[in-house]
Amino acid sequence: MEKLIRSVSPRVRIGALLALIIATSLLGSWQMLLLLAALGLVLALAAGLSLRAVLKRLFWLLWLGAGLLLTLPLAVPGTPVFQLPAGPWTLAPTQAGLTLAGLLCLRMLGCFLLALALAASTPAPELLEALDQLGVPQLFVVLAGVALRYISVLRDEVRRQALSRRSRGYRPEGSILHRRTLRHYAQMVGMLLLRAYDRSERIYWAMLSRGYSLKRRPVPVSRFSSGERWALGAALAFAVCLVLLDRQVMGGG
Amino acid sequence: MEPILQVEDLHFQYPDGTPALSGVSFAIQRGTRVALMGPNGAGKSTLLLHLNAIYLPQRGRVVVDGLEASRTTEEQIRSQVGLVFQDPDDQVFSPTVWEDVCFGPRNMGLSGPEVEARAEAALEAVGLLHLRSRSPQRLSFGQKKRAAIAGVLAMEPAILALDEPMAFLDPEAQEGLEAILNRLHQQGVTLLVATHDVDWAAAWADEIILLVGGRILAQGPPSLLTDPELVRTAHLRLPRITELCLQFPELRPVPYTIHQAAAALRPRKSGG
Repeated sequence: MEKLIRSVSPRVRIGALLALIIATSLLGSWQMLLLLAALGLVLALAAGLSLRAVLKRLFWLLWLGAGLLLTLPLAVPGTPVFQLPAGPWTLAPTQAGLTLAGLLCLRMLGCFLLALALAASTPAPELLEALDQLGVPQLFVVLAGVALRYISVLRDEVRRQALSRRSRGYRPEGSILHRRTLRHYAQMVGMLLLRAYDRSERIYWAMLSRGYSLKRRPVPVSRFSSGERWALGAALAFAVCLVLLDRQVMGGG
Repeated sequence: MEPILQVEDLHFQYPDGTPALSGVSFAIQRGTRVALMGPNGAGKSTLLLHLNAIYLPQRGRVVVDGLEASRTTEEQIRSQVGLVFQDPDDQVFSPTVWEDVCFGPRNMGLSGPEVEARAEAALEAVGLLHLRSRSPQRLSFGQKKRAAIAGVLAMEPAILALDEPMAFLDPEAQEGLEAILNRLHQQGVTLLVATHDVDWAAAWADEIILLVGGRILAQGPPSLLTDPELVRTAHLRLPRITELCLQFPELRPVPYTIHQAAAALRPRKSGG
């Protein structure tokens, strides 16, 4: 399965992912959304990610999902499911709010798992090249490449700063909300931003010095091969079928 | 012989009014190895940025192989003068070594096969061909430095300007880098190296340019570095071997490399 995924060209993978993400945003039935999320999970596992790695990445999504589940039921008007007195107020989550929050969470999960499958099956340089080949604005591709490259450099700078503070006796006091700790973190972020700003200027000089200009496109955009056209067509047809099936399920429900 | 690089009365000041270069003039002959020396803040890096037309002269001229630097010629100048920055993390910005080395030739509008041939030759020249697919963050500092040089070499510049290339390198990596520079010199590339390392510059360079406070203090052979007064004015120090040989008045002219000192001492030793 992993070999099959990798045999598909990266730009077809991106096109298929976009088609499926658009389909996900149009789906209204939880059955179809669960099906798509399951497909995303299977693809991510097939691309070589372990279940543990998938769950680890999902952890951060849980916070966003929890935020939606906690706020939307209280914000969307409708029939209250139950009422909970909270001091001078009464919390009354609605059925419509819960349904909407659940739907958005499932859509988010589906999109995330599909994107994870793409990221796991396509190394960053291939992904960037594919975006370039798809005609994505060069500025975006260059910025994405530079951001990917410099995440580790920024991380190293954070580590060096933390080490330098510790070597001079600094110990965090209490939680992150402690005034002194908070001030230290603010200084660290400020310093990081200033250094990143200086570095960005030097990187730009380095790009200019090797003839960089946004006016020209260094890699010519090549046409889709017939194999790529077929694969992309199949992905689009699958996405359309999903949406049509969803309409059937919704109509039946 | 027509110099490959001419700088005439170059002035530059930063937007906050700080003067960086005040009437810098010098010329460099084709195929020479030149060390640009001076203390921190002397204007060395600013001068190098002018040679690559990143900065254009506010007053004066920079002429590379007969081509005066200006808005209209800056792209040609950049393909003639390769600039290697001090920190390779600033320069090797692509997700893989291969992509980074291809960056310059692609910007020159070369065909795909030509880009690949140049990238391969450049990586071969710095001994990094086997690491072509590697991400720069997984390279050692010395390897990143060599990747930065390969990225510039792939553009096949006539002049290679390097800002503090030996900084932060261990002795083995320094030797490896020097070997690369010497090979480039043999191939006819003109080399200009900004450095503080007087011992290295005295032994390696054909010519020394001393820059202090945005002005040229002196230009000439490496024996310039044996003049204590001049070296003090340049906020540098004498080469260690010169410092030693100055203690012996009979050793004149004063040696500034180990080979010269050995040659000067050998007859005395055999005679004594």
